[in-house]
Amino acid sequence: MRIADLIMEKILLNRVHLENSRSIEVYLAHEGYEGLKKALAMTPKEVTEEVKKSNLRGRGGAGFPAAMKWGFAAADPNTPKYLLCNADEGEPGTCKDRQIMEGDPHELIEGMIIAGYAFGAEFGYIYLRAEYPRLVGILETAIAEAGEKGFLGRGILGSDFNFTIRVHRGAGAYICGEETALIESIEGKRGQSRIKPPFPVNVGVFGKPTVVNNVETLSNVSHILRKGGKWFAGIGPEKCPGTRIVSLSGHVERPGYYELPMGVTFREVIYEHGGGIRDGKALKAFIPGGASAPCLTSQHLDVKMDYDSVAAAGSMLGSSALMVMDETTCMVKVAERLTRFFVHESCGKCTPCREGTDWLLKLLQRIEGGQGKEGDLDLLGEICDNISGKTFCPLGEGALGPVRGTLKYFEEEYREHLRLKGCPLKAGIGNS
Amino acid sequence: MSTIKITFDDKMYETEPGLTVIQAADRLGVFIPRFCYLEKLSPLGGCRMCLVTLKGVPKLQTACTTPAKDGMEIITRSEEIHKARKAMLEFQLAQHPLDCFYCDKATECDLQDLTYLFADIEHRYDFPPHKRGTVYENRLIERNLERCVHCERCIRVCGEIQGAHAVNATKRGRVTEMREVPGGGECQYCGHCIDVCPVGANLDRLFTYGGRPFQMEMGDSICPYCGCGCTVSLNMRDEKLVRVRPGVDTGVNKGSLCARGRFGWGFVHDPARLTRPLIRKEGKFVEAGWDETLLYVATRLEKIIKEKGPGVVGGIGSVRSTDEANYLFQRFLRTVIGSNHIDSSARLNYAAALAGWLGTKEDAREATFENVREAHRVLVIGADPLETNPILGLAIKAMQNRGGTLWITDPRVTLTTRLSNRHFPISAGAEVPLILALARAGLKDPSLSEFRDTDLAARTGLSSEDLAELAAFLEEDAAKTVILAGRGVTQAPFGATAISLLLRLAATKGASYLFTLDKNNERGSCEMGVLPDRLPGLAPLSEKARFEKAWGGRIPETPGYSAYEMLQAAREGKLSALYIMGENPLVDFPDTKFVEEALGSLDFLVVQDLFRTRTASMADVVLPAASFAEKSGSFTNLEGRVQRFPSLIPTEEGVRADARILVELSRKMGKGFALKNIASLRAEIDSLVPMNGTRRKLEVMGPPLSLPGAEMHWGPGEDPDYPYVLLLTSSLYRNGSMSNRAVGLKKAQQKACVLLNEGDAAVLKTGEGDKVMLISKYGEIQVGVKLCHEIPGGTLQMPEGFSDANPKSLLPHELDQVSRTPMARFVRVKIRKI
Ligand SMILES: Cc1cc2nc3c(=O)[nH]c(=O)nc-3n(C[C@H](O)[C@H](O)[C@H](O)COP(=O)(O)O)c2cc1C
Ligand code: SF4
Ligand code: SF4
Ligand code: SF4
Ligand code: SF4
Ligand code: FES
Repeated sequence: MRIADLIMEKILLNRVHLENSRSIEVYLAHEGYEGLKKALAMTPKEVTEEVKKSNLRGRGGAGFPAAMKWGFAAADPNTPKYLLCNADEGEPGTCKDRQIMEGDPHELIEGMIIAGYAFGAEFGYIYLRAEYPRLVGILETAIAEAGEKGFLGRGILGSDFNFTIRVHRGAGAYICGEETALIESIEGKRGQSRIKPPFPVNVGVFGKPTVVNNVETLSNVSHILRKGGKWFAGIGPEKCPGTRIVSLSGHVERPGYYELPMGVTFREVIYEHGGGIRDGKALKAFIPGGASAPCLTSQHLDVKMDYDSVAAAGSMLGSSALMVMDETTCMVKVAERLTRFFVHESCGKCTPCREGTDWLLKLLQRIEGGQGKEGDLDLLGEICDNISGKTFCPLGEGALGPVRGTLKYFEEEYREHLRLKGCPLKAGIGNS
Repeated sequence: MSTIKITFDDKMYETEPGLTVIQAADRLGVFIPRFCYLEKLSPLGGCRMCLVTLKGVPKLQTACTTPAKDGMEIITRSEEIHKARKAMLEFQLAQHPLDCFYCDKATECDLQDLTYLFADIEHRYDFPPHKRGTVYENRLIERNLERCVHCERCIRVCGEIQGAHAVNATKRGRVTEMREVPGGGECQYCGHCIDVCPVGANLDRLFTYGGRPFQMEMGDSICPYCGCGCTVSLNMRDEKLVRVRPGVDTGVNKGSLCARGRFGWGFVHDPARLTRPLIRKEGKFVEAGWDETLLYVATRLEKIIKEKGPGVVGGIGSVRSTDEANYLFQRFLRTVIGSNHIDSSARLNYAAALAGWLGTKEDAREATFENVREAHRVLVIGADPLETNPILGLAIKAMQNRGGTLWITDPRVTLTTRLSNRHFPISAGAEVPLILALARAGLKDPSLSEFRDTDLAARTGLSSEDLAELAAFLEEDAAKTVILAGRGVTQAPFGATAISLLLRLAATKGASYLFTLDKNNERGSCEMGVLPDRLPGLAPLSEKARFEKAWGGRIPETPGYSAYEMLQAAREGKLSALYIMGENPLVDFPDTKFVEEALGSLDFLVVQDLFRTRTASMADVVLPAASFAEKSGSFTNLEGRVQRFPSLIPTEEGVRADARILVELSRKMGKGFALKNIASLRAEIDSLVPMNGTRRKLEVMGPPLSLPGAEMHWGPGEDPDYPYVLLLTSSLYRNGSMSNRAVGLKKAQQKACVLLNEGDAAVLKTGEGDKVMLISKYGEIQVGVKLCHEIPGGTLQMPEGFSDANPKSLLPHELDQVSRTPMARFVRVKIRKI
């Protein structure tokens, strides 16, 4: 039986198809702000407990338990506390947070208010990806609506809880999705990661205890409060329950976003929801979780889509941006294109990422262009080793995914480039 | 103090808690390579050179970001570590231009040194390096973008220590460039980003190709500009200065310098330096030998003394010259000439503060730079330390970085008011009523009862709430409070009295105090007795017997004239001869016309200087003197610290040190000082003025100071003919005539300009860059306009010290009746468009 059949309705995207789905009236007509009302009737500790029961793990990439993060921030005596919603959505191929914010902004806002209540935050920020200018208005309208109805501001719904939300527009840097760089950016500084410890839960934005959570993470919270942590914990795998919005792209018949329970197989996602490989071609490889996830191949189609299973297969689920490549794809070109992204996005702070990724890129370009030298493959591997484990932040480590993944499964294709002094697959993946 | 135990490479050490691993290693002598870490900056963790293994932790860790904890076992040498560090070096070198051959940093470069150490680095990068060139957007600093190792030390030092935020990282990743960009802070030319750069990416443009270290001599000296007294390392090649750097984290400046200290040395080798004595013959200067000249001076002085008595001879000592020269100067005037008419330009500032200090019975604690750095609160009254005493300014910034608070009362908009946590914009000249109000609140002194708080408040221009808050500021946390006062107080009527009240307040509350001093040796010249009424050690004339015995001559009993009284006496024919050592009253003293007439009335004027200054041009004899680099001695800084320095450059043929000139002149006058060398001179001074550590023991008192009347008014008053109030400010880039001859400072800022409120400019129909004429009752000057929205309408601000436009010539020379200091902070002017 397919797991998807177990839940009849979606959780996160169950309202986006409604007419005027963004408006607070429609939201209220569909159980909107019920979770908040329930939460305010509980103590903050009880709210955190409920979320803990749900076993909700962060959807930003690392899968950190949400309730645990809130607990750390709540335990810090320093005030005021801040909740930053990470809406930078910078991972290539990812477009999940956008669906929520665009179609159901109140779902996020309600989640933020509840989270803020749970750990005692007074101020919330939505750090919004620069490339989503249209969402600024949508979010601000929703925030204003919520304020008018007394869900935001001072003394929310007659309680003594105060909470405000502001939208902060990013400036187009992938690194600013990393939580400490995001904090620097909100403070008006250059987007670069900070030294940890101290962790944001103790010393975050403006030096205050801060929780950074992804849009998708926070958007689950109102449902958990409404239906109970136990209900949520029962969806999908035990260690990683809930649904996931998969951003499916590449050579499939039906690219798009799909909310699916955690633990479905990639075969199901690609062949059933995505309609299979475009033009009846064969699958060559897929990247399960954004640019930094090493690629997997057809032998991994039955791997389950949850953090632990994908990690066991040697990749990572990350943001669930699933990129599919058919048999005509040149894997050297794939590595080159993705590495180019990381070279462009490296903040430049640490030596191995700044210098190493640039060197990798030049080698890949040379191999793809037919000027590869004997020994270039070994050098690629060694540069990866010299970067690995030595970068300041995870971006540099993530930058190795494309090279390492393609080298692992497609070394022969690299060698052919060297032998033929050029790309054996004429079509490539286009020039973008 | 508790210690922690940590292990480096299986050897156990004990060290203090609270350090990072690299700090512990540095203290214990364990080597860990680095590019980005620097003790004085916050850690970055970027270069990844300092990777070490912590036992039990799988990944390598950066020593500069890892706190050292008790029981930690650290491995700094292993194959894995060596390979990782080598890899970082290979990355750094991949696109480095390797143009060491003509890089000014070669042999002082961390990249060279570490590469040499890891000699087995492979160079497998075989692509053409990214060309990015060198930028010259800073007039004094060259930024070579290709040599940069992205350690961000320059950014951090500029932001964290200098507070300028001028250099920033621009772009991203491999093409990140450390540059000054529009919208960033303004460079203050401290040059700190040059020193901290581990490679040749930030370079001193005055030095370019100046020499390799082994071709240079280096020696520590004391900066000749302001009262901070920073330790400078002079770098000479072929006996010529080529570069100045801070002493290596020594001295009061702890590795920082300001623009003047670093880039202001150009005057030393300026071609306009005097190298031969000049005697005016038939109205024209002719060069002469030293013997001939000194004999001529002696003969002329003797003749004047014979005809009119010693009381017609006066002397102006030097706030620039050494303690030793000033000591000899007053000894010369007192015993060789027989006159107490001795003063210096310290009269314009420190002498008034000193009068206030002498007139205070309570013992207030004088602060040190260290106290300022560690203070919780600083209150500045009438001073702009960021411009006048930049390293004191850095101490204030450091205090703020540690969470301290800076409050300032000043009618002007200055660098310091901009830095302050709170600025109280008092009315022009309102420092004294402000202090009276604070004293009334804090001292409960019946003699202050005739003043009314409401009157005082009205005079300060502050609300009574503001005044109450200021008074409360001094009540709390006094042990960690420092009061800084400057010329806003000392140059006001009853300024000395106000200083005295401020010191009493400090003493009563337990706060400490410090005076900002613009010139390097204002304090030393006074403490050496270059005062009309005080002998060395500030001894009163009543103690003269002790000095007469030591000097073997008689000292006149009555106090002499102060500076302006000498000038007035000259105009009245009561002073015939004046000996000026290293001062330029025609430029530096208020009321130029008055000064010029006074000097013109003299029968005989001797000027001893580095340059043919405007004052020297009026002299009968000009004696070429040595600069700080060419003589030895001590300067006394604003904390009272006596700082010795050696002579590091030989004097040019024909130039002599001040002290030597005075000794030889005394011999020519038949009362030769029995002094063999600088050491015997020092011994003599020490025997008369005992030292207490690095400071002089000064156990002296003066008369209590009289209070102003309750009806007294301060400030510029009203005058419809002169509708604007011009407030004088100081500039970091100018400090006397040396600075106007320093090419580096001229590059930093070429010209003075007057700040004009935008609304006033619109009424006057002038704009940015236009030239205007400022006219006061006393003079007029031409100056360019700069618009400023921060200053209030009806007010102008203009810096002193620029040779192209000197606001001193607009000032009156009204003297304070207590300190005989001229009031020189503001004047009423009108503006004419040119
Ligand atoms: C280079 C980099 C980029 C990241 N980008 C994002 C992002 O765009 N959106 C996001 O939610 N998390 C991103 N993260 C993860 C965040 O650092 C952080 O873990 C996350 O926002 C925490 O939220 P969660 O606990 O709800 O997952 C990024 C991390 C790294 C290292
Ligand atoms: S790994 Fe280093 S250079 Fe790369 S983004 Fe992180 S801090 Fe910046
Ligand atoms: S000289 Fe000083 S102020 Fe200027 S950029 Fe360098 S560090 Fe900053
Ligand atoms: S210019 Fe020098 S100090 Fe600044 S980042 Fe580059 S190497 Fe470091
Ligand atoms: S002018 Fe003053 S602050 Fe600047 S370097 Fe010289 S002594 Fe230091
Ligand atoms: S010195 Fe530690 S990372 Fe640079």
